[in-house]
Amino acid sequence: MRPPAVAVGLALLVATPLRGEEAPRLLNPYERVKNGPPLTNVVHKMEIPWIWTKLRRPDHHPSARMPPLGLADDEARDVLAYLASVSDPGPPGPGWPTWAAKTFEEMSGDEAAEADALVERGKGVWGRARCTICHRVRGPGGGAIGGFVDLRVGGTDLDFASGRLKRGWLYDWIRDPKRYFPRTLMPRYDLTDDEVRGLVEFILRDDSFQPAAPPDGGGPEPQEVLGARADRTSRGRRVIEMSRCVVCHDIRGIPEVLPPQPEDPAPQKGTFEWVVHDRRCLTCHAVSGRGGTYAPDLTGAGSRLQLEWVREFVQRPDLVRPLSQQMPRFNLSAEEGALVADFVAAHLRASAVPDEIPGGKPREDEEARGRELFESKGCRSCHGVGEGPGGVVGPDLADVGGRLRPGALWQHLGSPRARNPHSQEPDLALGGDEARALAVYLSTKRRRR
Amino acid sequence: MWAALLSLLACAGGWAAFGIVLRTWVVEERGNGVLGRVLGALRRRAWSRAVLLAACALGAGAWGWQRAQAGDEPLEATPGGRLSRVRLPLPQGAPAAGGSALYIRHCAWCHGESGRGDGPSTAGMVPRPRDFVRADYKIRSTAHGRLPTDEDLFRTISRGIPGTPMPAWERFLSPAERWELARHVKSFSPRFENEPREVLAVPGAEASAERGRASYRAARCALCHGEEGRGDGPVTVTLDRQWGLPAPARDLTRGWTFKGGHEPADIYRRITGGMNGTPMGPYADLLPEGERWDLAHFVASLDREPEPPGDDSVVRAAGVGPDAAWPADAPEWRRVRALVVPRAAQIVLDPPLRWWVPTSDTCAIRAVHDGRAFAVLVEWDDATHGGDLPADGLVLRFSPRPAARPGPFLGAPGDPALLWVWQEGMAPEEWSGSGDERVEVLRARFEAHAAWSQGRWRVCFRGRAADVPGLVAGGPVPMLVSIQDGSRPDRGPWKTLPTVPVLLLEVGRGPAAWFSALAFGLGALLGGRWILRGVAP
Repeated sequence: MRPPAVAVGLALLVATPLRGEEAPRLLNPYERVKNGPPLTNVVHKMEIPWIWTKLRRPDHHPSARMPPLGLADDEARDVLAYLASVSDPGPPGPGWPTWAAKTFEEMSGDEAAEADALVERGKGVWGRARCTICHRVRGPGGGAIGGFVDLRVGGTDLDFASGRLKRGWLYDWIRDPKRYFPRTLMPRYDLTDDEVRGLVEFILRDDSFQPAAPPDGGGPEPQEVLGARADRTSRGRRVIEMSRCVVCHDIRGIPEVLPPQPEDPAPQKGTFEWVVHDRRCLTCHAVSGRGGTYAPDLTGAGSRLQLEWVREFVQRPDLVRPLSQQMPRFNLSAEEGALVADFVAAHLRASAVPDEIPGGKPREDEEARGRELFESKGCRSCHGVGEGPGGVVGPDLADVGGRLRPGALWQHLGSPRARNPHSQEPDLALGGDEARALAVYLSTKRRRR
Repeated sequence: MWAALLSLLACAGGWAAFGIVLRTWVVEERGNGVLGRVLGALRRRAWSRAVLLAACALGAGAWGWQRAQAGDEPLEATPGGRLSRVRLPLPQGAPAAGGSALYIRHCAWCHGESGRGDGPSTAGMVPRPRDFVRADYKIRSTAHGRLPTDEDLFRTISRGIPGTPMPAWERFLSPAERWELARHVKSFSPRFENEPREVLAVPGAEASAERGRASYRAARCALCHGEEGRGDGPVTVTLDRQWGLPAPARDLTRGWTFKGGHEPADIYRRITGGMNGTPMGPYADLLPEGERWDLAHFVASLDREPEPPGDDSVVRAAGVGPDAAWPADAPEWRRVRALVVPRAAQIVLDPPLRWWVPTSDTCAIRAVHDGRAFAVLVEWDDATHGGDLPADGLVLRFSPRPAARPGPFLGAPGDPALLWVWQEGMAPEEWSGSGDERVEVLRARFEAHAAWSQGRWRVCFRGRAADVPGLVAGGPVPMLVSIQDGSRPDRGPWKTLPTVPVLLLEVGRGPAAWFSALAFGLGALLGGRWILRGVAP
């Protein structure tokens, strides 16, 4: 069904930021030229047999999107040798306890208990960080970004992680993804050393991440790759150049063929732009048409959301839509939370959203009328309000007054598809006074802060 | 020429006889009724009767012969199976006349009406114009003393001869007209009919191209350009289809689409210097000079379409034996001349844009018939098919109104359309439409056979001519060819279409045509005699 023209027009108005307020130019993480990850330190990232397999048979991994290159065994060996020769001296990452290299069966009782505790901690981090939004693990779950937004940017499938990824690299990656891959869509989570170690152990040891099929045999031994002679590495370099690997991957020492990309001007630390860049907010959210579509569009969010709620939510995301996606916990500091909230309130404004409910101060009887309307219009079938029965299809309204500004509430009730043309909210064709009464009532729904 | 002579004789004889009869009628049969006068005149002048009958017979014979000549040429194997503009058919319905009129208008001033190089403006002309009757040509790709190929003639007509009064006619005449002239030039010498005209080998270039084939593999060109050079390599396909980042590699089989020229030297430079901002990087440091030359020669040898398609629009279904039930990939099809037509963008109203994403910018159409059944083969390039992609498809749309422009794709009330629909992996369907909402799906009365290989579809439709309204031997029918590429959003109006060719089942030649001409003449003679005997006392 096509939304009425008025609603579309209103949506356009709402999506237009206020004039005079210069909106910051946020970097769109989707604008990148190369699809593949950098290969410069790939020998620190993956075990040699897996690189060997990937080079010879990219389709060994069921969802791989690398073209088959038809490399002969010798050519694959040469390529590996070259990639090793341009890597930083390794291995990366911190030191590991002695049990790290053992399987659970090989560990002593104390070691197993220690490892087990770490894995459990990692499992908790995995859930809070909502890794499955982007990363597909075996089975139907996950891969939402890949499926939802843009085929180009799905997170790596992790059901091959165990035995394929190297411990030290994984630690460094989770700590600061941009150090290895400046243009990655992966956010940085402010995790503690223990949390990262837990996540690493969980990914490397949990059964869900075991590869379904082993890597191909017959590949070179690590020593053979790492200590290859110069003739071998130069042959590998030639194969890489001829195969145009640099169209998709950054590889140290190989000349570019595509136009050079300007470096991301990294925003200044301590600014809103830096938080957006660091935490990759635009992987899921969009502002003024830049960014992803997985999470709500934040254009004009400052006119809709309560400042206090934003500050709290970005630090400790709470459930808003019980049946829908949830925001991961990025562990923003209180200062960062305030920074985000202030910026959203000041800059992400929409002129079409009134600050207050039009028609003067709310009256007592209006609140009662609104409560009545809430019951009689059947709002409860989709929304909970913190008291009595309530549905879970729509957002929980127990704190809707604390979350949304009254003017935005009023506007949404009057024309539900004004801001978001795909909103599920039914248009009840409320009269002016009805919308006002309902908005007055809902504004009173606040959780104590 | 004999036909023209016979016609002339017949004409002269007929007029003479008519004159005599008229004279007799006017002078000697005054007083009788009109019919009586004529018959009387004929009775009195028996010899003039014979002349009249002979004229009729001669005229009929000449007409029959011309019909026979109007048939298709025998199928020729094209050298190396080249699918090339230079092999495109020429309009043959009235070719001699067209060619000759063009010749008189543009060429005869220098080359002379009789082709002897003695036209009215040759006085003092140095060098002298070519004498087409002597058929001794300087510019050939054949051995010394041999005749030039059709391509040689076409090239000389198109590009002219610098430093002489011979201009480059490509500035003034369409490709079709230039082909007509090439054909007319050949008609001045009977040697063109049966002398071999083999193209001289260029051993250096050929050996170099052969070495280049190995370089093509070693330099991994096929990763982007594909095994057969159609621009359908795995890197190209993956970047486009899997990542949505198209970086199309050039289709090396179509020289005319090379942006920087398709001569070996152009290609050498492209290989050496690469193309900025594309995956085609420079090979100056990767391959030695000689190898780059070999590669350039090899790439040039892949070129099957050096010239862009012209404005020909007649798909001539050659008459063949009834056993021509060839599958789409049968080598026999190679011997049938192809019409290559360009595909162009549609203008779409909603959203307003010009739909400019053809996967292949030309398609090649061939057709044959045996009097009752006919078959049409359409070939086009498409790098991908099958898997989880939407199906590729082909629609032939016939309209029974031969002269009119085709109406809406699915027909309109009063302007019906017959559509033969093939979709990959589905049974063929026949649609009868008289409007977007009024399409009837019928049981297909035709067979479809499709084959995909190395980035090219070959789809063949075979059916009975009687099932296509208006399709009779010698009568052209508009046949719109709509190609659907599943990997593109080619749906509804969102697609590219070729110019609309007409399908013409050519009148077969051979014994049947000869017998019919002979029988017609004989019949006229005997019938005339019988009628005259009957009215004679």
